Amino acid sequence: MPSANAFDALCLGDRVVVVDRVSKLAGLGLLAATACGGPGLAVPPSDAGPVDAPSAPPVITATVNSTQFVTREHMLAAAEMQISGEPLATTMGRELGGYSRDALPTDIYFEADGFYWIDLAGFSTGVESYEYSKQPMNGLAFEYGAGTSLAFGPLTSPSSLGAFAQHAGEASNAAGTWTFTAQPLAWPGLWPTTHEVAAFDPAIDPTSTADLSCSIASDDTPSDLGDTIIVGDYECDATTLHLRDRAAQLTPTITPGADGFTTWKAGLWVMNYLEIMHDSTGAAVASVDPAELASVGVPGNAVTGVDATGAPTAAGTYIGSSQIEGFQAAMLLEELDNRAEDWLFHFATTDGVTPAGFASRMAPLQYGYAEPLVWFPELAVTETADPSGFPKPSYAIASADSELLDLLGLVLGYSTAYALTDTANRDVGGAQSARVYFDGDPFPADNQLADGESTLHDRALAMLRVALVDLDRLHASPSSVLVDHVAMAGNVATPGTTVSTTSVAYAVIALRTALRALSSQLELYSNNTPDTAVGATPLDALPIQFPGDASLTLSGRVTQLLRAQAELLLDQLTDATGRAWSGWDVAAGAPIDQTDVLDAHAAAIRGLFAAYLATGDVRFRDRAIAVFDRMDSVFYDPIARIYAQTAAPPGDNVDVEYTPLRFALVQSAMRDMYELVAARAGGEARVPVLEDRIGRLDKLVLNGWDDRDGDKEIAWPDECVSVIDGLPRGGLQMAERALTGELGRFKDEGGGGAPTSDREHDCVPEIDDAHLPAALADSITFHIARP
Amino acid sequence: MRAALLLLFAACGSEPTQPPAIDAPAGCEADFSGNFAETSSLAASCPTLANGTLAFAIPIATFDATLDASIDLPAIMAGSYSSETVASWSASAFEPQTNGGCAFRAGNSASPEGNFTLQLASIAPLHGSFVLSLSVLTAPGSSCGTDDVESLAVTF
Repeated sequence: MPSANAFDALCLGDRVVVVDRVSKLAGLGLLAATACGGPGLAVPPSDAGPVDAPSAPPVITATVNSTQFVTREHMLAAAEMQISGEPLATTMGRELGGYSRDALPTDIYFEADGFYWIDLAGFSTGVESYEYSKQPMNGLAFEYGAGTSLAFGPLTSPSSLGAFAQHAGEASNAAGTWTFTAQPLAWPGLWPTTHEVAAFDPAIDPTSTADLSCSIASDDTPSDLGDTIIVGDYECDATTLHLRDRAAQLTPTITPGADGFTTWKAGLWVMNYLEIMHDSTGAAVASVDPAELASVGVPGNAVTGVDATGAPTAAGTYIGSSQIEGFQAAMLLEELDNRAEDWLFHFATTDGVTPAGFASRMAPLQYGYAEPLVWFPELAVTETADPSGFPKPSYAIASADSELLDLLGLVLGYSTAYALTDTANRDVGGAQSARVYFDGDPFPADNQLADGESTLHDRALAMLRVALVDLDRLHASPSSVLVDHVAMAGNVATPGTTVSTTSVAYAVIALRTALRALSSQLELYSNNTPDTAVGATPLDALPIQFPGDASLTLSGRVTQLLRAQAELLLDQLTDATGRAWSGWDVAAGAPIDQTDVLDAHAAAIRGLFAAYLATGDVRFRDRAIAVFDRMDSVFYDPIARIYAQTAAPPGDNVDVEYTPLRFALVQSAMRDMYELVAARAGGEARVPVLEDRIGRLDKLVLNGWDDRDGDKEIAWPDECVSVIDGLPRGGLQMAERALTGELGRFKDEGGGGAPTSDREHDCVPEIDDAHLPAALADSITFHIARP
Repeated sequence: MRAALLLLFAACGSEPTQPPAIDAPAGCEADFSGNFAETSSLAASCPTLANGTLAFAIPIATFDATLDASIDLPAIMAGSYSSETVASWSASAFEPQTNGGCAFRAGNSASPEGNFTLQLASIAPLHGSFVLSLSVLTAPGSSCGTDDVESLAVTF
């Protein structure tokens, strides 16, 4: 019987991966020392005194200040974490198949030739950042109940939603394995949402049982070879993932930002799920005979296709990349489609008092600068009990004010959604694997025109149109610089005068994303691919009636706005030394203050790189590099190995706070620096530094593991920064589950073994022990105590 | 890496060989820094050139091993080369004496790739300089130091 302090043996193919921490690696070349019987020999430290290798490292502990789930910022961070996940690991040269989520010890990269090593940068990106980002999205969409029920979406009813879910289960071949006709919404315990609340207390009480023989497999698997890996029951039945006391835990407001960034996050993942189809054995199907596409997903179909190599696949082809993912993709699309319908036709307001919506389906698509103002307010939710078991919501305007970041979230979200429906986007909406979702079953087909059909294609275009026009009409100053806040009194807008550097950066990112989507360029993880010129877009045929320039198209105006925010970043919010400022006051024509802070630098880097890719202007790239170098020299504490929010005097004991937004900014700045500089000719010297920084950031800030002795192995629990009642509590990441190796049992083969609370000893506990979801805290403070 | 491992196993079961003396007769100077540091000037550190491949087998006294490097030159001629201009190159060494081992590795098919610059002043005789950056890869259970980068400068 394995003990909590030992590591069990796991098999990975014909390799015994782990025996224990002393005699290990049997069967591999790295057995050398044991085989040779040679004495241990510590490698002497460098004469140069490595910057990151202090002789007396500080002790880092951490306090979670708030476990609150703040939806807008969390989903922004989750989207960034996804992009900084598998795609970044791939850019770093790693083969994703070289990682096992469940092998112990954790963090190992298995190379094709049998060689393996501890790979903190690769594992923390390719597995942890990526999968951590997915789970709170699933939580919002399916598990927590932290929003209004999709059973009462504008396009659904309790009965129609049940039928839709059952059908999605059949079309993805999940029926009978993951979804069941006896379940009202197919998947046990499913709690799908239309709108996410702005914030909530995420406390949950997941079951610790593993009685369902639940085994996540195929694309979702923590098992590398298809062997049975039994996981906690909550992975197959979401009932115990619901909020503990839902009504008391929700902040019952709906915001465009929470919905927008949630849509962005979901859209990114759906793009992934819709890249391929799968056959009856679960194998990937790249394409089928076009004449048979309509039969894909039909229960019992015998459609055969080919995989990426052209080899034939098994009979029976189903939607989505796997049974689970095909089902989840359909549900996510249903959610974000209903979300758009509500915002456009029920929530938008013309007076700041009544959420009424546009009067016709064409109205939002034709919305421009001459029409009466229509905008998206913040809504209060009131719920009443319903026999369906899901509360029935009603909505009233809570605040008519407009927030720039909210609109940017909608732009990002519905740009991504539109790409999925745009058949001119060859590798996204034009792919068979996506078209099969929008061919009339399960979602209605569209004629690809912006003509007001009741389709996701036209709703996504409408959301883009309204959000883009309103961020200009409401938030643009005379110089086209966008400001953060606009106070509304009736339909009279009073813009504020300031904008944060973070908002400027995300304005560049969102406007660029919109242009790429509308011009059929937006692809999954193409964020660091240079743009090509934007031709006519579907929305350009509908005049915007821009004041003083009747010929200006929407994409033309968006390009102007993008350029204005980019120039602000270059000319005003940063300088040639790499100094970045926190924000801009358009009235004063000056930075909002003289504080010298991490967030401003990280955001500026993110925004400048996006500006470079959008414009091709190398000034933006060069400035981003300068800002990065200053960020690294001023804010990186080489002893504690953490980016601090301010330039702390060296040697002092300091507290460093991380929030989801700060983490996302720093992680994405390093990602872009890696992908756009280090990975390119002349940037090689930056590779080891960035890999070290990225691995450290993910492991310390996310996981709460301080590799104090620098040996790359987790001295558990001594190196965990937050241990309460004997249990490590993670870092910003509060808990985890099967997708990142927290299987619930120490020995998983066949479902046996003692329950575990932190199986891989990575400092992040299982959700049933943490009583919190696999999600980010709202705030954590790292206390750095120097010896 | 395979070459390094083969060398390693070949050494198993036999008495450890005597590390080359640091003050060996003048040869080619090799200067390691980063994860570990040592300087030597040995004839064994001088490169060879055969069939367009420049090869090094540099003794490492610190852990009684050899750093093997090979560079497939795009042209057999003096000039400046780097990891950006050479299609095929590799470098590896293996430190076997900690529990699991520490691998020092770089190359066009390695991850992380590392990098090098090579100044070939002349081909016959071989004269020039070679600067290499390798990653230090830690096997589970090993103690490989805290610096993940090893640099090597060779003058020949």
